Amino acid sequence: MKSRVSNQVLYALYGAVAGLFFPFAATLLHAWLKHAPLSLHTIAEQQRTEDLFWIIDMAPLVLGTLAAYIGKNRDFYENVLNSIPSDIVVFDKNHRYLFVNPSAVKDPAHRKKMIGMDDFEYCAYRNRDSKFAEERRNQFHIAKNTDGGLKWEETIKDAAGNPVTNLRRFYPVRDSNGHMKIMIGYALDISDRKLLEEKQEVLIKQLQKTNRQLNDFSNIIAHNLRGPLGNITSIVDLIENMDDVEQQKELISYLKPCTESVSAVFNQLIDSLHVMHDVEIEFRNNDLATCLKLVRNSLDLEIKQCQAKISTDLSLAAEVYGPEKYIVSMLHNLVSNAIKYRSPDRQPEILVRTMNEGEEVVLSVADNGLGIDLHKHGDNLFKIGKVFHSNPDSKGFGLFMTKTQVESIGGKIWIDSAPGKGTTFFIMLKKGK
Amino acid sequence: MEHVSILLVEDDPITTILTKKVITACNADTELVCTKNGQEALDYLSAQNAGTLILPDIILLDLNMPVLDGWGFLDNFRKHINTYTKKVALYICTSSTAPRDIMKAREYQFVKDFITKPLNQQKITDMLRVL
Repeated sequence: MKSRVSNQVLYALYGAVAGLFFPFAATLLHAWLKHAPLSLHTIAEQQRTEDLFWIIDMAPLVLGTLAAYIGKNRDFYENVLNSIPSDIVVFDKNHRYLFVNPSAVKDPAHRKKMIGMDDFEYCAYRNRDSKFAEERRNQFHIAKNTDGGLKWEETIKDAAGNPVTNLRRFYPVRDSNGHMKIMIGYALDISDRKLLEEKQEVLIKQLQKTNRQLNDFSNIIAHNLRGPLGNITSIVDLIENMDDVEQQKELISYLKPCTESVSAVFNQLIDSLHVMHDVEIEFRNNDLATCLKLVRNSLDLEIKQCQAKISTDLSLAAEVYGPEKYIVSMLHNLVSNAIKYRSPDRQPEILVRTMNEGEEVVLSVADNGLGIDLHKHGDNLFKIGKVFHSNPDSKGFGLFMTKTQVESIGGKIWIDSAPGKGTTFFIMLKKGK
Repeated sequence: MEHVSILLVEDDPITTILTKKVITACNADTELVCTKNGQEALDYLSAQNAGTLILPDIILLDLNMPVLDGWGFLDNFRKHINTYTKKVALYICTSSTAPRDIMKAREYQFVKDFITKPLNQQKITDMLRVL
């Protein structure tokens, strides 16, 4: 069953559609339909000319012909509106349905029933949440007070559960005094475009990430390899300009730590590249207590030596989702740092705990160690080769690798610290599935 | 050339040894004092400025160091620069070539130059010549 269009709607839609294609003809027809019989009578009464009376006599014939013409055109426009594969609805000024096309509501019975209803009544009729009606009412009021109407995107799920995105618009049609007569609402299914945009966005993000990694990589090479390579150059220059064999031997002995340093940075970079591009790494649920047990075992000697007290509170989230070796490595680095940078004034205390944050888990490792001045070192904290305490074991690789691992699996890492009080590292990861 | 005192602020032991050797190879009358980070260097300068010892003629400052890095040293040095009894030629001596570091160094007007490692005889000779 097709939707029937009321005259009011039809006139407006005539104006809108016909105006696009043949504005002059449409205006004439419109004016004639509304005023022609009256005007002819008035003219006849005023002029009283016999010439005009035959026109009045002929009026039923003319009007009959015109009615057939209009009926034909009405069917034509209805057909057009009912066949457009976009949702089209028309509201009166009180936000009541005047017209709904089959694309907007498929069921002809519903379509018929809803004419004259507002969205609140329609929601009640269809047993739907009235929030939808409230939202639409707000949008209606906003659109009513605009010249160009209101445009928005809306994603809903279809019967099969697939997301469908529509570009919706409320467009007010006004009379010559600027009063809103009707509101035309229409929606275009832009799901395909949306899907492409989303794919494009993912690609752009990947590209930005790769670009950032490339930039970081070149900075790391510039900063961290230049130092030891520069030393090798100096050693070679000095040896070339030196005759004393003993001094030459001494200089050669300095080459080893330089090459070791180059090698360490190089290996760390290769490892980080593997982490960044390891697409085949297996994700699984990781029991944090088990991971921590592995960390305790590997740091057993250090923990005993400094009598570190490690406590846990995993009551809020016991599992995280990710590659096991990264989760263990992250915990290892953070606990190891807490021991390495302990305060000489107190027994090291380390607390590992979890908190829920929506679909994610925040894992924190807090210590009562030396702490770090974040105003001074905050920017460099996770950079390769950056050390902040004069500890001979510090290489500046641990936090760099931890950050690389965290970010490679879509997590985040941040720090809170105060010099002399301690440090807390936070890692946001996916909750166990 | 008169006796020249140099303060090296550098955390890498190999770089420190090599800098000593390069300076020695210049055959100039120099004295080198080595500190491992910005804080050690500041402590040394404040002791020197107490009047018992002589301030250095040249400071060679690395940027990437633990405890107090080169930038932290420069901020502190700037605060006390008017209290120093003698003008000191300060050179940043780093493996960084980052434009951001070079631009930042220009904010410290007392920094004489931004030198990229490694230091060689020519660079040291130039520093001594313009002293």
